[in-house]
Amino acid sequence: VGSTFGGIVQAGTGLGAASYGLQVVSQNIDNADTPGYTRQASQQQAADGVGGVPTLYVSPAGLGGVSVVSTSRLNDTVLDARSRTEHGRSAATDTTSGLMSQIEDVFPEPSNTGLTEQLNDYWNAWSGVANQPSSDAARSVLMGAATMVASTLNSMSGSLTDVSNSASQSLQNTISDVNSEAAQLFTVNKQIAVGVGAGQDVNSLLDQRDVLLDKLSSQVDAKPSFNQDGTVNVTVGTEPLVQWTYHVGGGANQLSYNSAASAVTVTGGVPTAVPPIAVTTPPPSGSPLTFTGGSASAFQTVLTSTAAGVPFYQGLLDQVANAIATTSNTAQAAGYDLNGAAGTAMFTGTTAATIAVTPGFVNNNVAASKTGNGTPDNNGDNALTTATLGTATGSADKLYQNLVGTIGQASKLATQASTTQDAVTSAVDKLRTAASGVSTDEEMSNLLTYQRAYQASSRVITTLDSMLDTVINHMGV
Amino acid sequence: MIRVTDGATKYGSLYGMQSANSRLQSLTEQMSTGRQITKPSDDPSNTVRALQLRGDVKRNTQYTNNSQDAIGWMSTSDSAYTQIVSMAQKARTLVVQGLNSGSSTGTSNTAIADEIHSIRESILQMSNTTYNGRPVFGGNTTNSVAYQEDPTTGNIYFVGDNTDVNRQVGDNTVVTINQQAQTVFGPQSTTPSAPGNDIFSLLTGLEDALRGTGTRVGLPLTGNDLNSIDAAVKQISSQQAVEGATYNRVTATQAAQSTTNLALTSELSDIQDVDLAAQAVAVSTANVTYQAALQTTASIRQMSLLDFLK
Repeated sequence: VGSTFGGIVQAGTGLGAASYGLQVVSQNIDNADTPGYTRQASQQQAADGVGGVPTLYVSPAGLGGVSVVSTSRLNDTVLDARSRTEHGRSAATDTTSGLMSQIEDVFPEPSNTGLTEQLNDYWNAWSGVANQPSSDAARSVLMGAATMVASTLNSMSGSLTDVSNSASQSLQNTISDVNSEAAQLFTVNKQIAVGVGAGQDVNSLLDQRDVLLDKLSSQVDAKPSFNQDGTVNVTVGTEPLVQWTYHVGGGANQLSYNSAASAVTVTGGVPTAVPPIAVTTPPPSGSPLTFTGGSASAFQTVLTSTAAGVPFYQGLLDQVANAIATTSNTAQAAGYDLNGAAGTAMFTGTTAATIAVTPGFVNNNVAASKTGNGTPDNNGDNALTTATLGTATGSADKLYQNLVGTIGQASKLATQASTTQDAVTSAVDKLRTAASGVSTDEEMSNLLTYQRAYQASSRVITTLDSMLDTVINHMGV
Repeated sequence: MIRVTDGATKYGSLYGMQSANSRLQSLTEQMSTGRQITKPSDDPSNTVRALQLRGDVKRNTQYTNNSQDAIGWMSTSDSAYTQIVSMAQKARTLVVQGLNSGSSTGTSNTAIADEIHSIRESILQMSNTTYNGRPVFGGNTTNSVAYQEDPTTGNIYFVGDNTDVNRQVGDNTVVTINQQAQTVFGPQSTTPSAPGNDIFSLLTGLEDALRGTGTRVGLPLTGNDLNSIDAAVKQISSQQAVEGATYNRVTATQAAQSTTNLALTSELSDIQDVDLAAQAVAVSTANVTYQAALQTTASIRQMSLLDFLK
């Protein structure tokens, strides 16, 4: 049996719970577009005989009514983890695809200006010399074509180096971002620990934590492991980046990038154990990291991989340069120039970066003749044979065609991987926001519900009031 | 039932709009460049094929140029051959005339001898015919003439060389476009002091026989002289036939090259060029898709329960 005013107190808890529910709705609507915001819900419970719940609107035990147990954060941790993994992959495939496009742009084929056409012109110019061995004009055309081939190879090699340099700069920037996020995460960890210790609502801190983790996992292969209180430890590969228990009183570890060696290591982690917390985590080993996810992994691959990165394509281009130099020089050695002397090397250098027409090599040094040993003649047979070398097995032309095919294939695969991965990531994001995002329609319904609940509770109080009015003012008067 | 939130709708429609837009953009790029392959990754295998075809087309064009040069050379030598044969036949007629007149007056023999002398000069001039600055009977010599007459001895000696001049007129097809002078005119002398055993020495012999001078004092024309000049004419004509055969071969090759070039160019175009009609349809379809994505996004995201709450 309730006391005289028990009903009013009971209805009062209803007013309070409805009013708190409205606050939560308001919070959700306010943050409908806040990045990383996870929707919240007021968790109510009938307060019949329940006591000792540390919340504001708890009712006295035994009085009945409603109590707000907690404000829950309605996220799906499985989807959160999945989203981070997919974002890491997405960032890697998108970055790879962009870098492959940059590498591909170095080889503008098929076109009238690419190396293929220049090589065709070069071999045809040999044929021109074969037709008119003593014509200075024909020899000039050949030397022009040779210079063009060499300088195009030089500039292609330079462009590949530019791609490499810009990837290195981007990796540097990514690592700066990672370091700043690791430091922020450490601070958030600290705030969460303090907040939880003081019994405060840390939902917004948890949102911040998740946003930072999202960013980290799209940059490096960051693996979070969550502690009971909501703080988080993060490792990159096998190296510790943010170790909460380890760093009480300290800070996050940092990635350090050595651009000359394209190597990234984890540094920091001076043990600052504060009793009674034991130091259980080993400090970073300092050995170079191989990223397996995030945009950093794409930059690292392009910078260092001899199977898919700039060094690989640079190597293939060097083979083209070497083939053109070796073939031409061997052909030269088999003939005699316009002065009757044995042919000398036309090209120096065997890499794309260094290949050049031999200094001092002039038109008359082209060894067109096969017979003019000592006595210059109009024989063009050596030039005639040389002109056919472009179609030989292992010729520069064929090597270059293979190179273009290889880079085209790689770039196409990178684009396809990126498109596929984006679709997956988008689908997971959709699921994640479906679980944790704010739906304004839903909030409007909740708004109506809480509004009506508030009105109904008021109505109960009004009714009790009029009953008490009857009892106090009109009974026995 | 899955919750549909504003964020989820946003991701869905954003992804749809972006993919529709990117497809439209790539189609527009192909349309405006006229190429289906604007970069290797558009179609790696066809890119390589296109590069090979471009090489083939270029090489074929060069072969056509080489053939043209060969044909020019051979046309020049052909007309020289024709004139030389006609002169040599004229010399034969004069020999017959000289044989027939036999004991006739020295005056008519001298006239015949003078005419044979001028034929020798003409043949010398014809044998030095040049193409592009090179004597067509001089092999690979760098001299501007093949034969020279020594002003004191009157001997005609060879200053060219007996080598082949070759032209590449197709893959694995190298043709020799000249005939060596020693084969055409007979074994030459290469010094001014000695006569050779070629047509020029033969003509000098005939002239001497008619005049009764030089090596033919007291040795007038005989049937052997007629046989010699016949053999010389036959040899020159047979070499002209060799040249004619090569000429025909190169002309045929050149005709085949233009057919090949047409086929190669058309295959190249099939691979790398855009089919404008099909592309135009694809572009407008992509455009409609993109507009639809924009339109639905705009109208769906306008609606909310807020619109209906009073």
